[in-house]
Amino acid sequence: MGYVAVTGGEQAISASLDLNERRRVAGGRSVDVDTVLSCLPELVCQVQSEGSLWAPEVAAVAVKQACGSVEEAVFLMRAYRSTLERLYTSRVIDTNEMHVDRRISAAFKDIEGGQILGATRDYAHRLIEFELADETTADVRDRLRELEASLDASAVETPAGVLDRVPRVLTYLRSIDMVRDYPLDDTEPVDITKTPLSFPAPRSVILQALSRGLTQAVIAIGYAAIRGFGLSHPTVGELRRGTVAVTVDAPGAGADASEDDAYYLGSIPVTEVESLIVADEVDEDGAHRSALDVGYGLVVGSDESKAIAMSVLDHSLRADDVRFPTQDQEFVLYHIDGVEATGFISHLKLPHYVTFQSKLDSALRSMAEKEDEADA
Amino acid sequence: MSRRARTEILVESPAALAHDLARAIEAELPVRVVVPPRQGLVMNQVRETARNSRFYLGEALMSECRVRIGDVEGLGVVLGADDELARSLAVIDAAYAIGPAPAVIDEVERRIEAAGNQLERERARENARIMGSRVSFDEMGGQDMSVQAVVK
Repeated sequence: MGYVAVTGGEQAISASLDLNERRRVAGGRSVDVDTVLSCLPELVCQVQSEGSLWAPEVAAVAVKQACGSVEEAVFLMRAYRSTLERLYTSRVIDTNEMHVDRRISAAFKDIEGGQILGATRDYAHRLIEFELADETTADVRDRLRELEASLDASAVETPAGVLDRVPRVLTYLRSIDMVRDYPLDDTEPVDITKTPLSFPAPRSVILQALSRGLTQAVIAIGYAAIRGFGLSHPTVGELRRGTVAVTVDAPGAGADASEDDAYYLGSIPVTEVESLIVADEVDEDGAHRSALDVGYGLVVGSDESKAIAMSVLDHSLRADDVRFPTQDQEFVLYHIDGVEATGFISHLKLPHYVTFQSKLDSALRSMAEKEDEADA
Repeated sequence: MSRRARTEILVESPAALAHDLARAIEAELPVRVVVPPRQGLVMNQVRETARNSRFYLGEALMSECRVRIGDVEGLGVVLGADDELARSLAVIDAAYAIGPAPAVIDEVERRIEAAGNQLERERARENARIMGSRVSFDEMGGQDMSVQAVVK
């Protein structure tokens, strides 16, 4: 039993498309893309994170076209991406050189470089501010001036470069041998946009899939892994947020090309998390000892919940032990991609006339056979 | 100044700087476009800090242009869709590749250094604002919870 092509319905589809477009314009107002970028930056970031494409202006158009549906905007971004040629692969980004604008640790109070709160909602009264309903652009500009004056008043002069090379908590833990130090691993990463998933998945695949995963799915499965459906209960050793520089080597340059000769293209915002999980480590002599394992999360944008959940799942999936679904690579990685998941779910709306007829026929036959047996 | 430092200043400064410098170069030297401005992708690869391995974080939209001045080629690359900026960056890159350096480079270099100083001032101001949110535990007595104390 296969699919069959049907004809007809063109007029209905055309009307449906018009109805859908009318829904977009029915309010009689238009929002310009700059306004979407300025007022909804976190939504635009989420679309780029899940769309796996950093292109803020394009993402803002996608958000507008999708009437704010993240699912649809991400689909549009992935479709747009597929129309473009990949011209370069960046030099390896070293997050030690992140320009940090927020950096905290839940493991230690005093850390070298300090706990830098930066912009966060963590300490805000998270209640609806109804006065925003009447806020004007002039109000926003006045507020910006006030805030910048206030921030200048509380500013702390700092030597140049301090926020470009912030020390890591992990460095201390490695220095006392509580966290294992790994040599540089320059294994060429596998790219999941070019290679189908296979299991067990290499580390590069796990991290890429989690980083571009459906935000709420990553958070939900990460939560499950902590809550009892997994064995990863982390402490956030360090969470840092900031921007990383994207650079490329000159065309034709060798693998040992100097960074000084590279081209700087711009910077992208990221959030990085190193979670610490107590683990039983076995040394070369077979002796067991308690140590700390590190779960790693890095996402484009500023979604800290996603970055923390990613770090939990990075650790969880290393076990590749299917006792818990959160440790099952196939369960997590196959289902965490937004376009895959929503694509499959939404295909259920498409005509399944023939397959359903077959199921119905089979059920009716079975019922008839049972009735015949009862009559006999 | 290294190309890395130069291109960062040009990309992070207002685009008018690169356009002005490219115009000044083109007034002195003939520029031929080899690859017209186009959009494409750059895949960002990252080194993670748990296992020191590499992975792909995702792609970014970028613009590229290649030009020639005489026998030397210049490349302009920048994130986003900005054909004009990619072209201006390529012109400046080509001018720097000429040996010996043409006379116009002195002025170009001076303007880039000035723009770099301006960027530094802006960054210093923003950094100071961010550092205003650094937590001070100095007044909180009790147990020393610093990394060094805890791990002793």
